[in-house]
Amino acid sequence: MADMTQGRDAAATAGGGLDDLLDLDKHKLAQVPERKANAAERWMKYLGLPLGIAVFLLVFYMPLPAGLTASGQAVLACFALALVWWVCEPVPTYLTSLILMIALVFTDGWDQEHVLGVLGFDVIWLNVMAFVLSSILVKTALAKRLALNLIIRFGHSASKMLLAFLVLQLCLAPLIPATAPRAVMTLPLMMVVAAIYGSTSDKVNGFGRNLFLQNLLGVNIFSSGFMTGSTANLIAISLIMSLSGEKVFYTDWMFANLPVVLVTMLLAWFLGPRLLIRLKPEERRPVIAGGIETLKRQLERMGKVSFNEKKAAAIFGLVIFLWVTDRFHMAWFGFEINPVMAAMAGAVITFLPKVGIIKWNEADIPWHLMLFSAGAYAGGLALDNSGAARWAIDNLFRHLHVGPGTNFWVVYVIVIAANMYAHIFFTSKTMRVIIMMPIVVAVAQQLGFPVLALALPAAFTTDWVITLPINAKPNVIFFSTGQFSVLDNIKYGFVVSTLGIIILTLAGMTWFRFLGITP
Amino acid sequence: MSAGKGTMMRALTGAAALLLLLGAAMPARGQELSRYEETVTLEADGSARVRVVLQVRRGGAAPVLLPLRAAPGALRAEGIDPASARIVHRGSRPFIELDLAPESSPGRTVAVEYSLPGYFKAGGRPGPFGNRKLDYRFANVSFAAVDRFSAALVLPDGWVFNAVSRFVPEPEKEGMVAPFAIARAGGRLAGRIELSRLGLGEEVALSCTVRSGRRSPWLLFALAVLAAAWLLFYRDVLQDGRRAPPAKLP
Repeated sequence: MADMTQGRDAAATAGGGLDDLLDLDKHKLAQVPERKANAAERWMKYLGLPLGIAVFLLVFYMPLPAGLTASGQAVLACFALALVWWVCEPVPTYLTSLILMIALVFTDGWDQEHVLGVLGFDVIWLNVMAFVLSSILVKTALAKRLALNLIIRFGHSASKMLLAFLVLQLCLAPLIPATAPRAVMTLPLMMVVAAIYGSTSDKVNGFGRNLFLQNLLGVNIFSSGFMTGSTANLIAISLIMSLSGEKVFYTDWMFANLPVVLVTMLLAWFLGPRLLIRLKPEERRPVIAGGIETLKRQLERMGKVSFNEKKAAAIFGLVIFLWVTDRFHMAWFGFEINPVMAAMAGAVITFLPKVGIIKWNEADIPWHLMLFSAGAYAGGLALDNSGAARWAIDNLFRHLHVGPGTNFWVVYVIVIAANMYAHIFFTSKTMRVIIMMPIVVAVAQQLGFPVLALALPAAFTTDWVITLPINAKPNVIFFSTGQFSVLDNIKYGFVVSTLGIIILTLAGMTWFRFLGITP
Repeated sequence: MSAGKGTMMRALTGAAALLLLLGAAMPARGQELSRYEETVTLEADGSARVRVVLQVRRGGAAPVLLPLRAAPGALRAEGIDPASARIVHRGSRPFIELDLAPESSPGRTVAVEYSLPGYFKAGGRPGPFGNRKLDYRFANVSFAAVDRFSAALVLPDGWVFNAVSRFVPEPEKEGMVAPFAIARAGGRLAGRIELSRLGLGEEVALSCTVRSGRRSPWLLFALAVLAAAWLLFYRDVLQDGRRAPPAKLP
């Protein structure tokens, strides 16, 4: 107990007091966080560079396998190198992305025009605009106010705080179909809460790592609870319907998969701080001298909600309104405002002289993150474009020797596991679904199993993109805070993915069978 | 604007050529094939040996025309009287003309074989990364229907497909793949196109780049040196940083 108090006081003092701790201007996302590596991470850095080169050379110089083009082989080699370097981090992740983009062009994997064009993709624009919007929450201290309210209500223990964020993500998932906006909306709150628990980008602790990783899981996995949770889910369903003629309704999806998602997330919430990244006793409560009372006083000191905070809330509210009501846009406006344009409209108001809230220099945009994303997307798209991704997946299924007479549940587990773990090698859910789903439907049809029995549970894994920062937009956004390492992400992501396979298998044998999905 | 005009001109020219070919082949309408199988075996000098196997489902009185990209050397025919297989010209375009007697048609298999020099440009300076362009095109101007169409492009020994830039017909839906696969046949790589049906006037086209499969060893040496240099000069990465002053953010 004495240790705990000592720890809190030390952290509060080291942080230079509560005001310093909550001043997010001191933890700008635009600055690349410098994290202190542990011994294992240092060895990975040291050996990662030659290991990446070795993997590259092995793939690049191996005899060209049948079914693969030479450019596909080059892309595979480049992506393998980048994957090793993103994990081991011998060089910063954004630098690996730049190297990947150069390597793709220099090895004739993908042409320069396409590689450079990735930086203009809507996902990059969405990230930039979302960070502008996030900046107004920080600048006006609205994020601080919301976070203090949240923490005063739920923050007596780390466990409750983590659960509160998961509930928040669950509520947002059916409302906002895009994962990146959800991540950016909650990011400033998470940063303030993490700081109150003593975790900042330059001094990360177990609470910060758990908080950001649990939200990473929440943003992605809760999307799979609803058919409209992401565009990729809708593509998966349209592929199933067009390739097999089977129909799937919104409620079919939700009744089947939402319980799976809830069980998984509750298990992740329980196991995370206890098993995956253990919380030390001093990390279980806010590290503020005086505890919650100090935070209450801080909130009182902030006074009434300022005019700028109201403006920020209104701008953010407008953007969220446009995100939430996308299905009505055609009827209202005669065209659909996509999430990027909605965010851009918000950003325009934000920068308007006199009306707006911030100037360009006050917008906290992590450009290193954009370059990291661009490289990851370029690699992923090149894998798809060159046919290398499809070749790898086809070969995987061929080598698993799945054929007539194989037990349904063996095939079921293989299909679920292949779909689940495939996310590690993809940077786009849509691309993964487009490649995987026809193969799953074909496997079901060839083996004489009901298509939905395999394809629908496989589609449920679409949004489980949780193992690496490159796997999805929210991952990249959360990773930019420096609150967790790639290794932390792998640990959490791999365990929860495996947990997901087990739960989906158990659900297949029980719940899905009850619903008539599996035989 | 000029690019748009160019595209339109190309489209019009293509349509006119197709109409011309269809016109030339009109007498053969109604003939149906259960199988059209073409194997193009390419050599390193750019020449090709082409073998076409036709399996007739319903014959017709009029001769069949198979369009050629250039006039070939000697023509060898199997399953048909040699006098009934000949090279003719319609305008400047060469064709193989086959007289398939209608009474003997159902189930009959006919094969023709010929050599073509300069099927692809193998000599001279290659394009970037040593790539050379290779195009394949077949337009069905003779048959009311081909039940099963297949074409194989067998590359010269040691050559590889670098990238496929265009395939006709394009996949109709997202998630569908072009019916083109690369396989190994007798130590050589072969790109095989398979279609379940090809109607009159329909086209199959493939544009790709090919090149020698040998990769330069220089990259291997350079990267090996880089890896060794890293292990030698970056050992300080292993230090825990306690000895060094803490890094400051700007």
